[in-house]
Amino acid sequence: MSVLEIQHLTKRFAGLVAVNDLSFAVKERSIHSLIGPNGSGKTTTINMIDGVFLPTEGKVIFNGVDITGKPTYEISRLGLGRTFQNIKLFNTLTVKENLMVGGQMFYAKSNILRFLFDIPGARREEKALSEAADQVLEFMKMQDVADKTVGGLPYGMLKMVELARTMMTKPRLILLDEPAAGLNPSERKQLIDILFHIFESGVDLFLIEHNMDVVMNISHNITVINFGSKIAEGVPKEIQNNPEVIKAYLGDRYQKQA
Amino acid sequence: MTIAMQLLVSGIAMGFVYALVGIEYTLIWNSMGLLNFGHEKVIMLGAYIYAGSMILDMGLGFIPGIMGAVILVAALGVVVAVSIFIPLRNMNRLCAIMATVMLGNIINEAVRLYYGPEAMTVKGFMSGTFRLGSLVVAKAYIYIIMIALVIVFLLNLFMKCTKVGKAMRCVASNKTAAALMGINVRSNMAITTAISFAICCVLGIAIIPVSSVNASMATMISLKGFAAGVIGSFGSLPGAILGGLILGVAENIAGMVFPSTFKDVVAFVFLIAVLMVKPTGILGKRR
Amino acid sequence: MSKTIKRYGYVLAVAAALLLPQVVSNTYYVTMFCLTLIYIIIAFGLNFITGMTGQMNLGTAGIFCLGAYTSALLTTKTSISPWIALIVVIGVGFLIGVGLGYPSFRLEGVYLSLTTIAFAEAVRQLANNMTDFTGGAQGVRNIPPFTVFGYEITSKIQNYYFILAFVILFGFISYRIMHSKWGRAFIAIRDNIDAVSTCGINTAHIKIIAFTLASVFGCVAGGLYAHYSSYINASTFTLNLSVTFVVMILIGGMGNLWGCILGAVIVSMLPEFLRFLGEYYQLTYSILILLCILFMPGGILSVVKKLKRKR
Repeated sequence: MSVLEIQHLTKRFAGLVAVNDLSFAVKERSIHSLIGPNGSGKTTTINMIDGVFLPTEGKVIFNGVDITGKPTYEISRLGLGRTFQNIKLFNTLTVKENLMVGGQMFYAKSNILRFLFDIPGARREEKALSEAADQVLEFMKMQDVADKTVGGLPYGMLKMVELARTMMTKPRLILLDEPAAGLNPSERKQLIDILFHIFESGVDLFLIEHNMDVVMNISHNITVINFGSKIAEGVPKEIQNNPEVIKAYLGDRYQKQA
Repeated sequence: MTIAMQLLVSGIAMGFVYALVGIEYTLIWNSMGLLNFGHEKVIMLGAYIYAGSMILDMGLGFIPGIMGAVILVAALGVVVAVSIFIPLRNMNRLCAIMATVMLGNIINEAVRLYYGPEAMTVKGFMSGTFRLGSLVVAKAYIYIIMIALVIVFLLNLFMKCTKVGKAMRCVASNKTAAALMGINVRSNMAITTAISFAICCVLGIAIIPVSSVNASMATMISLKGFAAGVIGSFGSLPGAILGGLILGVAENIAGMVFPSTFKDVVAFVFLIAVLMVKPTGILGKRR
Repeated sequence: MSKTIKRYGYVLAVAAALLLPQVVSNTYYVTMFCLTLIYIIIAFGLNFITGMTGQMNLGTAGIFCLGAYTSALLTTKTSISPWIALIVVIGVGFLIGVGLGYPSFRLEGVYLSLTTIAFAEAVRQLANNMTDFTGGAQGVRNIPPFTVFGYEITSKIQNYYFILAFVILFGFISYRIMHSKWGRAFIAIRDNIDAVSTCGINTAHIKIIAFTLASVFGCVAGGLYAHYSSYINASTFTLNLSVTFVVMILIGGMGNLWGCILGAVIVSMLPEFLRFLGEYYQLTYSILILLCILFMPGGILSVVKKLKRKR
């Protein structure tokens, strides 16, 4: 069974083919990586999965539901979370408030009229939402920054906040766009730990990544694309030894290690 | 039939006025990401400087008067760009909009205090009528159409063929890249503002025969110019021209069907209707 | 701790507002206070869409106008009580919010500012030109006052307390919304709209809610204004008035109830303090506001906060 299935996905921008007839599947209970050189169409692919771009051709099936062309908010309600390459957070809110925005569609569903007139109900809802946020903060071991405003936090922490906010959306699968970019080695190690932790809690992961330490360490499966087309697919070992991939992307360092 | 023709001509003339308003604020929008809500008052200022200072005070002829007024207003544009618009462009959008509104109020008050509250007229300026068979058209309308065409033509030439014009287009599409290519973005913005203000000034002078010189002479046309831009396609110069023409003709035709007091409502109802049907405007693209 | 201090602050403000007309009982001033209170309600509403969500609304005068005319015409043409009219007015506010919000928010950017201006201008023109229905330039006269338990609210002081009750009610509603998931979502949209959709939130829906709140508050304020002044005229509701409302929340400090109150009070009292300037008043006022925007874009409250932090 696969949790996410990409079928013949193509995106053309005014003549330029960014992604060309790309197909792959993310298996249930797996960590899947999509790698490829700069400009090979990775972020475009994620944007099409997430509903930011409308694919020119092809289909995206998530959990057995066709989500092609659905708006982003509907896709994330179905349990598909996402983080961004250039972190997108609510800078004037605190960490906990960021998480609460993430969870409000999932833990506090009342509409505005109900909210205005049912005061005790609203209070109960707010409490449930706040508790859910506390749980995620504990899970991510971030309780100490809960009440800090996001704007002033260090870069590595921002990545964690974004991941935590995604965890608030009760995801089945999280798309991570370059989670390790800009992190130093010790932060990278922390990230790998937390990603495993999230995976063990029952969430599948799909990541785009440049950092080979991270990719080779955590992925179960890897798909490699270049110029918008798939050139290889397999477990990390196979990818490391695939001459096509080495030529296009990895260089010979990883071949020697293998 | 002749009435319809006359309405068509005046509709096209007013359409060009709206189109020029559209061009004038789109230039600033593209260059600085700023919506100049003070443009109404700049248009009015242009008319006052021309009528009040150049013609009545200094007794210049029509053509030297126009040139004097345009130069003065364009110079003001540079001052405004350097002191207000350029510092504003990195600020949050709400503050920027309000600042341009306040700039308009300041110009308005300065004009009232300097020229006094009474309306002015310029005798013999673009007056008279053309007669074509049974068709009688005010010369002012023909002049407006001609002036607008010349401005559109010159602007196009300037943007496509001169170095400064090309730089303006670069700044509009990507400020960082333009700066890296050695374009002085700030001075380019100042030039853009000056051109925009100059167009405002010409506009103000061109509408003197149809509205006389008074404080609220440009209120309606500036609002409808905004509407024209959105109807065509916001941020696009051809869109502004198309939107302006459609709007000018539409409201004159509507004037035949509805009582004329509702003429001014047409533009705004039309704008909201277009947004409901095709929110990106007539020339707009989809995502 | 700071939360309790804030609550005491609100209690103190209400107490001060209750005492004010007892201390300054001059009818001229009380009239001005009434208008200030009405403006505070509008500022509370505008705070949602412009202050928190960051979308420019320059059509508040149109909303205010429609609220005032709806209530005025309903109570003068038929003999409906102002209270029933108030319910209709709330409905009108809701319709404006949804009807105008829906087309404006399908797109990003400046569209709301342009459509709201167009809307306000259309409303004003209609009010001015549909002479048979709205009285045209003559306006609507002899609008009956509200009645509370059979007592008519006629004197200025009675009106003051009556409107103050609404201010407290709407302040309470605003406070609740601002400190809830709605308030957080509004600010989230201002901070980073892309991230809001990945949280499963329909951003257009949230913006429409924020705008509808603004239009309901504005319409109710319009209704209160009509019955308080008993005479309305379309020439009141110009683009300049819309601008004044935005200036209020901008000067006070956006996204904050205190900012709204402070801004409304300052902007409506300023003409009194600057009266000595005579015909230079408008010019000075505009220059002052421009300088405030350029050098104090966070409003007066941001300066107060900075001073506190320094200490």
